Amino acid sequence: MTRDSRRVQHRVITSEELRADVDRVLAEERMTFDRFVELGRSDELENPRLRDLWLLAGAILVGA
Amino acid sequence: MPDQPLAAAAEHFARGLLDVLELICPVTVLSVAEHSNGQGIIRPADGTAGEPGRMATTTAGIDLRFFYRYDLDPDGDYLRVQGSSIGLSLTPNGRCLLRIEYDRGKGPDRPDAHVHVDADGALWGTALTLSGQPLRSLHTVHIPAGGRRFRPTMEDFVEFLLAEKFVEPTRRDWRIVLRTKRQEWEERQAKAAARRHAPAVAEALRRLGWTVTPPP
Repeated sequence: MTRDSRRVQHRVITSEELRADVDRVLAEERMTFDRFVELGRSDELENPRLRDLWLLAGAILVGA
Repeated sequence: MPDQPLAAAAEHFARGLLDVLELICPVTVLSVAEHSNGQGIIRPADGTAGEPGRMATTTAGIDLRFFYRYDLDPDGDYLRVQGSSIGLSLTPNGRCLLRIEYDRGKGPDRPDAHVHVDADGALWGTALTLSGQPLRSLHTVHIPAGGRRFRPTMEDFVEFLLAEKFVEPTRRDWRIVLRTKRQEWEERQAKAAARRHAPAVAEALRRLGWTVTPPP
């Protein structure tokens, strides 16, 4: 194993895993998934945590 | 090195990223996660599936927070970043003071590449009021930053942190490393721009004395 390969960990991520993470954060931020998608699509999420969540996971989940 | 094209491209990108990150981060472990829809995520290894992680810098209390969401370009040759965020956050509360965001194809009213700054600004409040807008935090403003092709990179962000002395470099030749990595980025972007604007590039090359023949 090379030095670099030890520092890059590969894995597969599932929609179920992403959705569980999104739901957990949305529960903490008191937002529904539908509202999250609506605001994410129109780029109106103001909470930086939710912006990251949309850009990272939400867009994969809804194919945006 | 992974066999699949997407995984191999992501591995290559991640290794290049490590070269830059280790200039300011003592421990650099990246997670590369692929989804069955052909997209993937690169982020610090301590993140969760849906949230970016943080990477501690050489300055205690100042973290680097980032992720890249990507796929392969239509030709299947290059990694294409679909969304990314590179930010500076404070360890105690996780508040992100500065973020460079990229959201490819966001739409006509928002720049794909933009900067968010979390700060109090009375003068911005005045500008919002004068323009008839409700008061809102400065971090909601999308400050354009270079456009899709020449947006700020991790190299630029790390250089900013070093040049402004927010963090200390882990090695003395950091400028050389950044210069090399930035040149690689610019060459990749130049190739992408050439594919997108082939006639204009051909014209420019002809003016420089090159012989350029269109494909059949």
